[in-house]
Amino acid sequence: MRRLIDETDQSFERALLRSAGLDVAPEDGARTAMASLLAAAAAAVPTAAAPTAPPAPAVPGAPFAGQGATTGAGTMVAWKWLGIGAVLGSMAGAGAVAGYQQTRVASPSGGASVDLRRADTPAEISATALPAPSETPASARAPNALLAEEQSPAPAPVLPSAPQPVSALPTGTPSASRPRAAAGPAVSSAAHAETPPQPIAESASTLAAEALAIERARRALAAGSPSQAIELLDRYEQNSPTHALAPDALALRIHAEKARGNDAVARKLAERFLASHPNDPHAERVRRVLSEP
Amino acid sequence: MQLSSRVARPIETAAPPQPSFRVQSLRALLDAHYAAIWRLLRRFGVTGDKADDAAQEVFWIAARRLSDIKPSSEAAFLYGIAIRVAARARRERPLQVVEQGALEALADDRPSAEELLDERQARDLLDDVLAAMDDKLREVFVLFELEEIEIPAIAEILGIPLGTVGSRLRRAREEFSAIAKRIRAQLAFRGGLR
Repeated sequence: MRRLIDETDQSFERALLRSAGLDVAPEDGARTAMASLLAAAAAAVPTAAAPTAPPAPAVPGAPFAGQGATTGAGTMVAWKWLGIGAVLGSMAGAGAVAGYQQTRVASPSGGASVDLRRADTPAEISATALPAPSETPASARAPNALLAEEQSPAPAPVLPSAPQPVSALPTGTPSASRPRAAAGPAVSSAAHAETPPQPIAESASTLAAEALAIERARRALAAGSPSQAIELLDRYEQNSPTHALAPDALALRIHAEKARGNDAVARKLAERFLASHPNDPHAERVRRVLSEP
Repeated sequence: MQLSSRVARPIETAAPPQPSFRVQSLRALLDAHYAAIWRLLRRFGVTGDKADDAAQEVFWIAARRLSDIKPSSEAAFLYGIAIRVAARARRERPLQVVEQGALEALADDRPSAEELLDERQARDLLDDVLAAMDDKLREVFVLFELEEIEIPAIAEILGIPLGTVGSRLRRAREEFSAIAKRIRAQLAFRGGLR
């Protein structure tokens, strides 16, 4: 069946149909969307809009920068999660995920790697994750149990006192207005102030909540408290509405069990993981759990 | 801010797993489909500045359900979401039919509609025609005529039988032509168009 533009004898119709060729997405659309979505996932706190503030400079030499201490293949790299983690301790975990900027990622199948690094994006995202300490975490308004528990005060941030002004995401990025409705203004942007429809906001906050819950567990493990990590993961299992991040939770659980010496449990979970998610980004590291003594 | 001034932490021998947000899959999805989704939204009436937001919304929804997506059905999955997102955007901001600016710009111009319609004006008028169409007919029309998607794929995206796609497309073309004729008549009435 031929298209109408080729069949119609009406030149007016042809002109109309031809004009659709003008519809071209902005060139950096995917990249800016990615940055927005990453920030949106973590953005559970209100941030001051400072669209003209320059982003924080990239921090070279952060312990987990570059390849990181991981497999180097098929996994994501925590770019500055240490620093983020410290602040997040004081902010009840909000914004944790924002610290994760992928740099070089190989596809699980070992194909071409994708360089996701933008010189300014990591800093922008991390800056977004560092709201002023005095602000109320909007997690107080989170609709579900995962975020709701993030009310307890936490130790003072170890970072220098002046919070980094929140920089805007790359120019032209619409605000992450999805989570904003659920959890207060998140990503700074003066450009788009609309309130998203409620169902989408729920989706945004749900995924953000799940990401945060797992992130909290991850930090507990990284801080040397695998049992606390397990406990947080148990809570995630109970409360997660979608289990969208179940593989991540399981991978983390495997490492936590291993860390607290439950080798048999860790191995059993690892086998279960690899049976269900053989090509998962975490699979490589989970395999290592099985191969290690 | 010197994040690196944070006390150096011991790196565990079994370093903790990487962050949980499934960034990789999302990124791959964006790279492969962002442009098409943005374009599709645009063609379903989500105008320029809102298209960015709507596109993000589509991928945000998709991100939640990444495990549901079979690699071969990614596009169909995303398109289905995009259509619903566009429909919602339309309900919230009903499209204005027949943009005044386009009409006035043509009011005192030369005779031939096709000649004097510059691309931008034509695009605006296309928006008007599409906006005036029935939702279900618009869907198949945009997917086939503008996105140039094949009928079987359209059936998958919309979740309808092949035959339904065909019959809707036929009706969509009739409706499109009728509305286009009406709009052209309005232009002609406004200014001396042939």
